[in-house]
Amino acid sequence: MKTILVDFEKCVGCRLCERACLKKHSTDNLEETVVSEIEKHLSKQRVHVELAGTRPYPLRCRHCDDAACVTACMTGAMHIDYETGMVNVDYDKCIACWMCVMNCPYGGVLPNEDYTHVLKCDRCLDIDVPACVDACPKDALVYEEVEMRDDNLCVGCGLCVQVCPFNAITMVQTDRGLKSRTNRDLCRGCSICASSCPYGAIFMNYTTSDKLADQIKEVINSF
Amino acid sequence: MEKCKYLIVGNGIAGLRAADTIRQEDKIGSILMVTEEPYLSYSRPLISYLIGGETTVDKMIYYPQEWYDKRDINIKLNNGAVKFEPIANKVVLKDGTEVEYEKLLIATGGKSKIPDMPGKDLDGIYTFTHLDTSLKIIEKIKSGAKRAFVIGGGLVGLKAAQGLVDAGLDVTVVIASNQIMSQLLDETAASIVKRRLDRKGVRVILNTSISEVVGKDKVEGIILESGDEHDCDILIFAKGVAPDLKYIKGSEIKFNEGILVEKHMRTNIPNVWAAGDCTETYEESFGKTTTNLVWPRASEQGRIAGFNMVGIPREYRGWFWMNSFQFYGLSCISVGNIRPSGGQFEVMINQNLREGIYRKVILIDDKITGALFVGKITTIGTLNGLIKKEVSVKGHKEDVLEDKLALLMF
Repeated sequence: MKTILVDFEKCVGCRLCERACLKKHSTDNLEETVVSEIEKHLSKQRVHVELAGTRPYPLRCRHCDDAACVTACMTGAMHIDYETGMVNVDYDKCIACWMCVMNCPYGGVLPNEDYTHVLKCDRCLDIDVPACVDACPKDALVYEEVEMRDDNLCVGCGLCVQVCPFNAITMVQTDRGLKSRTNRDLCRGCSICASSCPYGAIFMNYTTSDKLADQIKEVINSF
Repeated sequence: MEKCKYLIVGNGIAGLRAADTIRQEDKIGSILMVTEEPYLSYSRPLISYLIGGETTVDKMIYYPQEWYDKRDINIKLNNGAVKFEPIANKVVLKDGTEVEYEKLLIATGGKSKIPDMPGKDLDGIYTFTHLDTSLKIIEKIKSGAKRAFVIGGGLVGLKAAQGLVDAGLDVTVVIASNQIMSQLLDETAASIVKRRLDRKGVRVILNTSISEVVGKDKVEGIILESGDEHDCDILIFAKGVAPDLKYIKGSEIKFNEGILVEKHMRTNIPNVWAAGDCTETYEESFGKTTTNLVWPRASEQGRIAGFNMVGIPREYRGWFWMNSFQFYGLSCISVGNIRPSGGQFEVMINQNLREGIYRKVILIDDKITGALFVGKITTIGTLNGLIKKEVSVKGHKEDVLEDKLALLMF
C-alpha cells in the first residue's frame, strides 16, 4: 500500500502543497487566479504548512489505524475504509460538531471555510499521485510504498506468505534463490508481515526507528 | 438456552464500539448483542437534530443491517437483558430466553429522571435520551403543540431547545444556575452563546426552577418557583442522567453509583466487563471514582473493553472534561478544567467579542490544563494533544493562542 510520507528535513515551507491541494479540491476555476487571490481560499485546503519551532512542517491527516477522530465521531460520518485503510468522511452525515477536530492531535482534521463540515485528506484517490506530492519541488512529500524488503536478509522461509491476511505475498524464484514478493495492488500496509518476519527482511517505511529518531532529533534541535 | 462467546448487553455507542473492536481482533468468536431498543445502534446526540428536521432516522442509524451480517454480529432488538446471573455465566432476556456466554459486556447506559412534583406523570412530559422520545415529540408537534419548556441548561437541554425552535415552536429554557452550560463554559463564553440563542429565538430564564406541572390528562402549563405561570404543551426534563442499574441490583456484580470497573473495564467478576454511561471509573482529573455520562467517554470505554475482552490489554487512562458543540454556526469547544481555583495558575485570553471570538487557555506550571474556544476552533486539537501529554509550553506561550496549529509536540 502507498501512503504520503514527509521528509521533515527537505521541507522549505514554500506551501506549494497547500495550493495544489486547494486547486485539486476546489470547484472554482483557479487556473487563472493570481497567487494573492488563492491566498483567500486557503482555508479550503487539507494540508497546512506551519512552523515547528523554526522549521516548516506540512501537517496532514495520517490516516491512523486507531484513529482518535473516528472514535470521537458521534454521527458515524468519520470512518475507516477497510478497503483502502484510509480514514474518510461521509459528508452527508457530518453535522459539524467538531468532535474530530477536538480529538485529532495532528491537526489533520479541520473545519471548512464556512464551518459547515470538516475537511481532511482524501489522498486524491482518483489520480495516480496525490496533488500535494506532485507539487512538492523538494520531494519533502513523497508517495511511497510503506512495505519494503531487504532481499539480502530474506531466506525464503515463506512465513510472510502464510500470515498475510490479504494474500498479497508470494514466493518467487529469483537468481538469488527463493524470495518473497508483494503484489502492490493487494497490499494494505497492515505490517503483519513485517512484525512476523524472523529475519527482519520486511519493514514498514513509516515505522523505521532511524527515520523516527531523525525526526525527533530535528524537532528537539529546532527549539 | 442460547450460547455465544461474546454477549453485549446494550447497543448504544459503547456496545457498538465494543462489537466492532471484538470483530476486528477475533474473526470467529460468536457475538450477540441484545438491547431493549427497537432500532439498530443510532447516534443518540442526533435526536435533537431529528426534531429540527436536520437529519433523518436513516442517517442516524450508524450501520445498516448488512454491516452486521458481514461481520457475523447477531442482534436481538426489543429484547434487553432483565436478569444477570454472572456466577452461572447466564443472562435472561425479556422474552424469557436464557443466553449462556463466555464473556459478557454490560453497556446498558443511563436513565434520566423526572423530579418528583405535582403533575409529573401527565402526557406531554419527556426526558430526552431516546430516539423514540424524539419521534413522539415530532408527533406531538404535528398534532398542534405550540409552546415548549425545557428544564435544564446543559448541552442536552439547549440542543433540545434548538431542535424545537427549528421545528417552529415557541421555546423557553428554565435554568437553575445563573448561566447556561455552567459545567462547560465560563461567564463570558456563556454570554456569547446565550446572545446567539436569544437572536435565534431560544428564550432563557435563569436562576429559577419548575415547581409544578398543571393540566388534566396532558400538560397545559407549568408553575415556576418564582410563582410565574406559563402555558405549555411540551415539557422536556434535561436535568442530567444517572447509570441505569435496574437489573444489576440483585446480581453479584458490584456497583456504587455506577457499575464499578477497574482500568481494563472489568467488573468484580473476571469474565464480565462494563463500559459506557453505566460505569463508575477512577478518574485521575477528579482524583476519585465517579460516574460521568458523556458520549465520548462511552465511545472510548467501549473500544477499550472490546480490546480487553479478546485478550489484548488496553488501559482506560481516564477521561477529562471535554466537549464540543455548535449552536447556529457558533462553534464552542471546552477542554479540561476551565474554572481553576486556588494555587498557581495563569490565564491567557484572546478575544474579539464583536465577532464572537473568545479563546482562553489556562496554564499551571507552564503546562496547559484547560482551554475554552468559542468562534474559531481550528487549533484545539493540537492543544488538546498538549494537555493530554502534559507538554510544557515554556517559551512558546504566545503561540498557544495564535491561529495556527502550533506543532509543539510530535
